[in-house]
Amino acid sequence: MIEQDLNKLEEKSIYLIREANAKFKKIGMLWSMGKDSTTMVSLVRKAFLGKVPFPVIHIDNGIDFPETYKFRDDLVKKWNMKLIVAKSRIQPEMTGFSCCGSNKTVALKKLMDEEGFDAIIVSIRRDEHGIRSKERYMSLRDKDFKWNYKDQKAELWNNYTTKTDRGEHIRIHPLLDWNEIDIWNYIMRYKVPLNPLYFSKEGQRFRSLGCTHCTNAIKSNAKTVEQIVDELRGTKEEERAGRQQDKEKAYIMEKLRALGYM
Amino acid sequence: MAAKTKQAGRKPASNPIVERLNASPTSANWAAFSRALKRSRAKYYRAFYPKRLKGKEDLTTAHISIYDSAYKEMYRIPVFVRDKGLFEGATIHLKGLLLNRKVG
Repeated sequence: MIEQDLNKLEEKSIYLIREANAKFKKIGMLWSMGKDSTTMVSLVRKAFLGKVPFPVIHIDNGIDFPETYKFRDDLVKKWNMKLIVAKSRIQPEMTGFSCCGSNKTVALKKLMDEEGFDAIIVSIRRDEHGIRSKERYMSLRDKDFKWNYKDQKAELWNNYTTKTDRGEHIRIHPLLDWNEIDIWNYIMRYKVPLNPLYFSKEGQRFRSLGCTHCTNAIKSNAKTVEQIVDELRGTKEEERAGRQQDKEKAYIMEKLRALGYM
Repeated sequence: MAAKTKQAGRKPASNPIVERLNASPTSANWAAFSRALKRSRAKYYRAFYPKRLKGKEDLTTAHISIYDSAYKEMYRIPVFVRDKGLFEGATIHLKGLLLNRKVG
């Protein structure tokens, strides 16, 4: 795993966050209480001198880990954030895509209509999955949340897509260039608070966090951030190997994401 | 001489709040369970999903086991809350419990 210059990564991310704040009227920030989105919130605090000017959005399917809910409530209080919980309320007869895809997308669509967000900050990284590597720093979604990944504007000389028609919105991805180990180096440098499930207990920890259904633990004895960084430097396993949703075939994931699945 | 009959072993004391929750996981029953959970000696939880979640209805086949500090299973509860058109997961009611990582 290649460790990049953290100062340059931070500068770029903070630039994107401030640019988004200047260009868009109403921004929301998706927060899953994972290490990436919590790092993103920390960067927003750096960008705006300790404040989080955008509401953080938790798409709640009701089956997250209890530790995740506790961490959410504690950090919202500590960092004085405005939290919006979008509940994915699904009728029992609904079938089709797995609960993660359709439930969360439907909940987000409903929330965006209600709140009128024209941009959403999302903490995805290019190295997480092949389809995510096709994203732009500011990526257009149409009114149906669809993404035309085959026809996207090149982002040359810091020119980003900021204009939208009615119903469209922009997904902002400030962490696109970061690797997993860059995230952990940042957490180590700035002592970012984290969900305790990332740390080993009884020989197991979670490398990537989802809900109680779709996340498997890995064998690890890393109990501190420093130990996790050391562990990552020697691992060859993929970060999201324990996430069931990523076991879908790559072309299916591409199709789902193009249709608006998160 | 009358045949001696073996006395049946004592069953563990049932918890009426847990029984009501299992019979009908409504919001009110979950609230009552949450209050009881805080007073109890429960420390760990673990969710078990026998089937892949293709739809929320599959939550009805899942359960959560609650364990005490010695990792002994205390009782089993549902994973969802169902109440007047509402049907969603209910793990938020277990805030404060820790994941039992000893079970696979």
